[in-house]
This record gives sequence, C-alpha cells and structure tokens, in this order.
Amino acid sequence: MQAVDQIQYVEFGIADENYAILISDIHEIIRMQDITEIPNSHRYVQGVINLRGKIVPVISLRSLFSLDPDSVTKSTRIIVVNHREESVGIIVDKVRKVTAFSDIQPPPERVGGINGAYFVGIGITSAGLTGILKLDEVLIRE
Amino acid sequence: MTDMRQYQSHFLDDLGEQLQLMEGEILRLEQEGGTAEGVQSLFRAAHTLKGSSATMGYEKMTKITHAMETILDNVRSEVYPITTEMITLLFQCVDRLKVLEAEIALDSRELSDIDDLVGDMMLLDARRAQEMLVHAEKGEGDKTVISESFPLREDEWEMARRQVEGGLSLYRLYIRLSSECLMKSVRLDVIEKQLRDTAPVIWSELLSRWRDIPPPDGQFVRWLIAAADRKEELEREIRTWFDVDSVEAVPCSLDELHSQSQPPVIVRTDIGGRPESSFRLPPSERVKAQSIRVNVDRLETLMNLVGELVIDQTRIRQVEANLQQKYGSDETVKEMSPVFDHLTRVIGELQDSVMKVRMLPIEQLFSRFPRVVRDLANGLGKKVELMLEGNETELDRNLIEEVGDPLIHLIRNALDHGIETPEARRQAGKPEQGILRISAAHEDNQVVLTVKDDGAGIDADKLLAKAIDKNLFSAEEASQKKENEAIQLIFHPGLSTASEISDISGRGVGMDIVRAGIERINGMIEVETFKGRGTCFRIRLPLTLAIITGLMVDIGGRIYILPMSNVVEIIQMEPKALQSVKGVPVVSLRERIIPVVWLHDSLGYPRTGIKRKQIPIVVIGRAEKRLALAVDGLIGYQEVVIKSLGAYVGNIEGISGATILGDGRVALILEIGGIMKMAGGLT
Repeated sequence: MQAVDQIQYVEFGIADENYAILISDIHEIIRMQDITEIPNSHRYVQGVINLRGKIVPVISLRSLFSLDPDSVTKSTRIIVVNHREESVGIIVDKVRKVTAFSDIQPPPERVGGINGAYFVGIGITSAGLTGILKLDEVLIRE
Repeated sequence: MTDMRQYQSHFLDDLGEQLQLMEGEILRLEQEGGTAEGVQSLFRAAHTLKGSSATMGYEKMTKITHAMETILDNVRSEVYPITTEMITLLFQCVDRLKVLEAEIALDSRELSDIDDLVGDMMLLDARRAQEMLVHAEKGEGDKTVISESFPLREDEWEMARRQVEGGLSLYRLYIRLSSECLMKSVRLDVIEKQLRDTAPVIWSELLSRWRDIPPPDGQFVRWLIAAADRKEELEREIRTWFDVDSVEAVPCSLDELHSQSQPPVIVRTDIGGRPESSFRLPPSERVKAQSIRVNVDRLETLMNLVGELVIDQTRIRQVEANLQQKYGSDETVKEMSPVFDHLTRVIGELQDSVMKVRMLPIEQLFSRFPRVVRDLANGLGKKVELMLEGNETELDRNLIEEVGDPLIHLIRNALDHGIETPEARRQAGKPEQGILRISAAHEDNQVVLTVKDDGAGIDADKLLAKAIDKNLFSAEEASQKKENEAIQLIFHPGLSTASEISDISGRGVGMDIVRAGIERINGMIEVETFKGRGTCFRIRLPLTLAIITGLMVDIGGRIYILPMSNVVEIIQMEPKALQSVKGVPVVSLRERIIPVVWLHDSLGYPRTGIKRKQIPIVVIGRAEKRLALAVDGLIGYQEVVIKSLGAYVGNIEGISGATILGDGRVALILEIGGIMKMAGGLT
C-alpha cells in the first residue's frame, strides 16, 4: 500500500477554513469565469460555464455549506473535477498548495458546523487541520 | 468467450440487419405466396445467423435458427409447401430472436426460454413431412416429392436436340447420396465429374440450384444427360459409384422436356379464409451503395467538433468586425475579409456534409410498420392496406429513433379507433379494406410525416361532451369552440385516458404523450379530421437535432434562446394596450385572445422593462395553443448548436439545453412545452 504521506492533495481555502481534494480527481484549476445561471435549479448550482466549448456546471461550496455567498476576488478559482465521467467546477476562495498529510483522522460528526458526511477525513499538518472532501457526497445528484 | 466480446457489437449489428431482412421476407411470403428467391434468402439469413450465433456461443439463438433452417430447407426443396401456420411460427421465431437480441445487448446473456418454440417448430416439421409422405404414397409414388421441371436455357435445349439427332437417348437422372456419406458436397462434385466422363451432361441441378449451398440431406439431385446405354445399364453403372444410395434414370423425349422447361413455381401458400392485411412493399433492392460501417460515437464526435467550429466562426466574425472598425484602412486587415468569407463558406459546407453523414433513409423505420400493422389488423379482425411512401426520405438518425414510438402510437390509434371493422365499413358504403397511408417528404427545411387513415374520423361533439364532463370548461364555452378547436382536445392530457375515450370519441389514446414525444425533438404535430372519412396526422420535424435557428431575447439582462420553429409572431406593445381578462393580462391578436406571460416570473427574475414605452412580445405556438411572452429586448437570431446541460444538472423545467454564443458566453435554450406548462399555473 502507498504510504499515507505520499498521496497528494490540492489544498484550498473557503472563508477561514482549509479543505482539500485528491489531486487525481482534479482535471484543472481555472480563474473565475462568466457564469450563466440556471433558473429553477438547485441553489448550490451556480450555473454553467464554457470550458473550451464544453458546457460545465459550477457549484458553490459556500452555498452548499450554508456560508455567506461567494464574493469574487482576484484569488477566486474554479477547481474542475472529474466526477462520474462528467466535469464539474467547484468555486473556492483561493487555492493554497499541493500537499500531503502525514496523519488523517476520521471525520467527526460535524466539522465546524458542516455535516461530517461531506468529508473522507481530517488531514493534520503542522499548520493546522484540513477537511478532505468526499466528492461523492459533495456532488450528490438529487 | 471473453475474446469474443470484441466482436459483440459487430454481431449485434449484423443480427439486427438479418432480423430486419427476415421479417421483410416473411411478410412478403405471406402476401405474395413467396418466391424461390424469397425462401432462399430467408434460408440464407437463418443460416448466417446460426453460424454467427454459434461462433459467439449463443446457444438458444443457434437452436432457433437451426429449427428455422430445417423448415425453410424443406420448403425450398419442396418437401412441403409453406402454410399460414408456418408463417406465424416463423414470425414468432423472429420475435423471440429479437427478445434474445435485446437480452444479449443488455448483458450478453440469453435469458428467455425457447424450448416451447423450438418444440413447435420440430413438431410442425415432422407433421408436414409425414403428411406429404402419406400424400406421396397414395399418389404416383416417390416422384411427387421431386419437382419435374428442368429449366433449360436456350443453348442447353439446343444441345439436347443435337444429342438426340446424334442417336443418343435423353435420361433424367435422380441420384441420392447415402446418409453415411461425409462431405456430401465434395462427393457430389466427384459424381458430377464422373457423370461428365460417362456421358454428355446437358443440365445439372448441382451446378444451377445447388451451386452456392449444398442440397439438404436425403434430397435427390437431378441431372439431364444423353447416353447410348439403356436405362438398366446406366443405373447399374452409377450404383457402383461411391456413396450413391439410390439412382433412377428416367428416359424422356424432347417434347416432354419442352413442356417442362417452363419456369417452376416452387412455393405455394394456402392463405385464406381469415381477415388478411395486404401490404405494398417496395421491391427489395439488392444493389448496395458502397459503404463502410462507422461507430456512432465517432460521428457524434465529428458533429461536436463541427459545432465548435460553427461557434468559433461566429466569434471570428465579431473579432473581424472589431478589427475593421479600428484598423479599417490597414492592408492586412483588408486581406482578412475574403479569407473569413471563404472560411465561413467551407465551414458551412462541412456542416452540411457531416449532417448528411448522419442522415439515414426513413425506410429504416418504415420497414418496421408492415409487421406492426399486420399483427394489429389480425388481432382486431380488420382489413387494412398499408401504403408506405417516401421511403427514401432522409433524416437525422437520432430523429429516426425518437420519432418511432410516436408514429407507432399513431398507427395503433388509426387501426384501433380510426379504421372500422369490415362490417361497419360495408354499412357505411366503404370498401371493406381500410387504407392506412404513411408518408415522408421533405418540405422546405423540414421533414413532414403523415399518418392518414380512411376510417371514421374524430367526433368533435363527443370530444366536447367529454371535456365538459371532465370540467375542462363550461357548456357555454364549449358552444363557442369551433370544430377545429374541439379536435385539438385530443391532445389534452385529461382526455387521453384510453379505455374511457375509445368508446366515446373513438380516438385520443395517449395523444398527449405522442405530442410530448414530437415536441421533445423540436417537432410539431397537427391533426385534421373528416367525420366518416378519416383522420390525418401531420408531423413536422427539423432535419437535425444538433443545430437549430434560435431567437435570442434579453430577459433581465441575460440572453435566452427561443427555438424559431415555435415563434409565431413578434410584436411591440405599449403596456397600457394590454387588456385583462379575469385578472390575467392578455393581448388581442387577429381576433384571438392570447394570455401574456412575463418570462421573468417563470425564470425567477424581477420584472424589469415594465415601465418602458414599448414591450417586445414574442408569440409562441404549440399546435393551436398560443402564448405571448413579454421580454426585455430582442437581440436577433442565429444558428445555435444545442448542447446538453449534462446529467449533473439534470432536467430543468422550461430549459432544453444550452449553447455557446459568439462571444464565448453560455446561453440557455428555452423549451416551449415547459414554459407553457409553467405558465399554465398563471393563466
């Protein structure tokens, strides 16, 4: 088995918290785009963007986690992930770095007010705690 | 079997084709009594399938096709003639094969039971063979089994005459191989050669009828030879040859031969005495255009790439216009213009060609109908003549798939409720046989499909009565409806429950579903009916699904696209010119009152432009229904490539997809059916 500290994640920030996604799930990271909203769709679906001729839906983690709505800044990014053979964009406040965790703990029931089911675990580094997202839960289709 | 998986898709393709072919041939057998070629090609199809399914390891399929092969083999070698019972069984076989096909396509396993069917086939085969044998024994012996005809060509005939003039006698020779003989076709070849060494061979069944496929077991193979020997000497000689089980030489005269060289009628049918549908099928065309088989996914990719080119092209146009404005006098900029023009033209042609590649003749779909009609007519005890027109009309393959179910629905309605029983037709002074005409044709940039019957038509009064009964509107409102408006009620979901409507109006089964299916592919359906004379449904479809002409409108600062095919009219209106009926804003257009809907409400935006002097209003239509949409502005129209929002977003009511505009932004395409449904709550 691969040593835990060799698995790489992309760490990003939303509000004051740090989160991470498995690097192998990520297709690319792009700057904020013109988003076309979809009326009558789910509230956390922000809309769709044109990614080189492909229509890609974009979701807001802030909205999913019931935080304040996104305020777009210079550091706002869209992380495009591959999920069940489809690309989905996730809006984050800023992308921090590629990292690995020496220790990953199972998620508690709630992580800072957010449902623990959204996480596969909590990564621990010297700098602090990082919630590792479980894409299957975050991108659940209803 | 894992290594066979890679051939699976080829196998399924081929299977589909062969089944289609079989069905067509069986139908032809039923109506026309069948020809030797028909039986032969059926046999060949069964044989091919048997081979390929055995190779793929699908045992059940192999068993069925083997049983079919046995029966067809006996038919073509005239052991027994074709009967109605046999045709029904053959149809059942094709049906069962289709079930197996679906199961194999799903997860490569054959689940359905087939033993009943194979049992029936074997029973039929044994019984028929027995009957014929009894018949033969009672009659003039063995030879009724063998057809006596010798189809001689002119030169063969000439040769026979010369041999007789040269003093030789003509013999018809019947040779049967022993059942233990291995490699029968090789043995027969040897016999052919031995015969030719012995005497001049004028005609050989082996070289004509059995050239491509070996004769069935136990079958006599016939020759016509000229020999100096007597009958007994000849027979004795041949009997010494290897593997010859039985031989008979029958002397014959030139006159006898002459009368027999008429082309034989090989297959007879004994259909009759029951309601029968007859069909006019186009003669099967064996000439195949040169073609290759291409995976649909590759075509899809090609289409997507062209779609992107079209988008880029619109973008380049914009950039070019900007450059022209800024540096109009610059030589390089001037040079660009003709290049762009050329590019635009080439992309346009490329788009057309790729579109054409995806087009298929509608025959693919039409060829399913004779069978459907036959089964329905037989089940309902009605007589129907099915006429198919415009087989060669081409449209997008996706459309062909999508339009199949609605059409079959219409056919079912036409037979069930439209065309009357033979007695009823007789009483109404019409021929007993009803006519169902299905046609396809290109009209402008659309394909028009019509399904027309000469049945009883739709009774508007009864429909209205039903609608009042269901509280759709009051009797007073109903009295104001014109007949044409009343007929449109058949598309009303509330009036489409099968059992209730069929005894009242005689039509309307699931017509709302038919319409929804047609509209999903951007089509329109209209109905026209004449009481007592029949009903005609007309379906208009775009040539393709991938690209539509869209009207771009501004709603709350966002661009939305309305399919042009649904836009009836565009008007400008002062807000105060809007009237109100029962609190619902309406516009009055050419004596029609049309409810007005602010798209902002449906899409969840605040109403903006309401204070403006003029409000642009787009009137959209779906069949007879009209709705006026108030928007903030009209931007223009252009060809748009439809893209799906993807499974993640899922189905959103009122939105059919998205497209990418010239400036790279994404615009949503509105779906008229959904918009009308949403507005339904408001009006």
